[in-house]
Amino acid sequence: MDSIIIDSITKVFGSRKVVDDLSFTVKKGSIHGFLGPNGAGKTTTMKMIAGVIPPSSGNIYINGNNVQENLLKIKSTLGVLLESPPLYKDMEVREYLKFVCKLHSVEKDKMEPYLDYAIKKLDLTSVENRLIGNLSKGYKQRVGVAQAIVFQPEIVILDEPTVGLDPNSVIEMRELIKELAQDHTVLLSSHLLHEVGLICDEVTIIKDGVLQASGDMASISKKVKEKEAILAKVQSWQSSLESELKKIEGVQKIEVEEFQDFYKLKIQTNNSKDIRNQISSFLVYHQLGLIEFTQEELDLEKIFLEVTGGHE
Amino acid sequence: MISLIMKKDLSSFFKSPLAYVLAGFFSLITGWIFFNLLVTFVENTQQLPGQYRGQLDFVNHVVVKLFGNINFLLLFICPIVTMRTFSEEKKESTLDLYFTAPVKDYQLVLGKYFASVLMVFFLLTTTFIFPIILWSIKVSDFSFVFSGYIGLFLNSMCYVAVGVFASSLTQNQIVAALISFVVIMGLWMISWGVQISTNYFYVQFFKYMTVVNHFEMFVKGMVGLSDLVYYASFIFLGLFLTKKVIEARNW
Repeated sequence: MDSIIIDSITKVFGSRKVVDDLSFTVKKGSIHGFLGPNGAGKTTTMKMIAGVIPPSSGNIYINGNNVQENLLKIKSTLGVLLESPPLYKDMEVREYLKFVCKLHSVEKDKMEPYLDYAIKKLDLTSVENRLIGNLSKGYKQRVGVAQAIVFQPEIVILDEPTVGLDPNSVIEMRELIKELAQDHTVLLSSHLLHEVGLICDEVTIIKDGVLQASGDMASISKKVKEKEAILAKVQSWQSSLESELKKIEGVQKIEVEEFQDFYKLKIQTNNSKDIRNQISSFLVYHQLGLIEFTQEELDLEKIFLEVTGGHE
Repeated sequence: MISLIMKKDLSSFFKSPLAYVLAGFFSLITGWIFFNLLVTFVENTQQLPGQYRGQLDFVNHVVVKLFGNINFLLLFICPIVTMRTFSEEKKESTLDLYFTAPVKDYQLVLGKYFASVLMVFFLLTTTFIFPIILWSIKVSDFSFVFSGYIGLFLNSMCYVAVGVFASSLTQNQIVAALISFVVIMGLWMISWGVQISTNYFYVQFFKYMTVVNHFEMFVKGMVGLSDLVYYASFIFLGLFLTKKVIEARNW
């Protein structure tokens, strides 16, 4: 079942189209990665999903309810952390989270258990009575996430939750998001593509407000896998060898680049079967001086560049 | 929800040094003014020949002037109290907290408005010492003091409405304070329009539009329905415009 359905939404600011006819769905209980270069319209889209700003056209459905028509009802099912955490520096952590609970009309008897849950989950116990303004950036970000989950929403929307965190905190945040997925549907935007690849089940990629790709990680990777190639560096090369190499079943295309003391071969295969052994044997047999041999693996970063078509 | 937002803003006001610095300055200046008015009144009385001494009007020379001066101080106090309401939250993007919660825009505006109103009321309560002093020196007529305070409270509610609106327009607190100062000042200056025209309609119009005129009615103890309508519509307009700005989410 789909938790969030984005149905061809467009957002226009003045004469600028920030989001253009965007549609995708987020499955219930999944971690959905939302990717795009800076300025692609991620934050705007997330704000529209969260009901902060209305779309210029199109509809967003959350659990089957139109966001604009059921604004208040939907907001109580959404935990949102936008770009910068909305923290009051003059409040203590627990006091602040309590205020958030009250804003979401959490019943009194549920309040304390909810607070304990969020504080424990985000590992904030040691700072729960400290002023937010005095916390480190990593802790502030955690409080930001805590305010998004403290009232136990069904769906959690996190906009760049790892931005500005040190590597250790990033790893902790990643673990945390994985844990969150046990109880919540998570929509997560990030420019840390590697990150999204590690934790997301599904991914949507946009550029300039236009959808580039959307689906589960496996199918998107598969699409791109066809573009994966075998890379080899050899010390000598003759163009006559190219046709011979193509005789190996599965080899589709060979690109040769000449460098000062070596040649770089990019061998495109059709991926029907693993032919690395045949190719390496070929290169060794012809005594070309094989110095490097690798299977090019497109990680999310390359997928991203592939679908957004650039090096933004 | 309104009271929740109001309490939150009040608590951060009282946590900040601004509250106490303002209260300190405000009571210092009003105290100095009150003292001077009393001294001047006593001096003036003593200069009169014996048989006229009891006839110098205490209300006009002390009470009316005192309230006029406090009202003038509000011109500075209200912009300072209200400058943070929305502009700081816009800057720190804390408004997202309300926008992503089931809070209606009007609840947010009213919560913040009432918080600022109570902050100014708190500052005004520091002047309650004056009626107590007057009572202790056996001043008998307190109706003017009473209606004067109502006038002050209503005036400050108008100024705060202007201040909250100004604060919703910008992320910069200083700019917000300046805008509200200029607007409130402008409302005072409308009253000068009364003097440049002899046209009955204009005179009445300018008189009705200026806050000062309605406030004077209160201080003089002449409270009419038209004054109350003026205050109510003024405040409503300010809050309505604020809500429109907040609704636009234009930053």
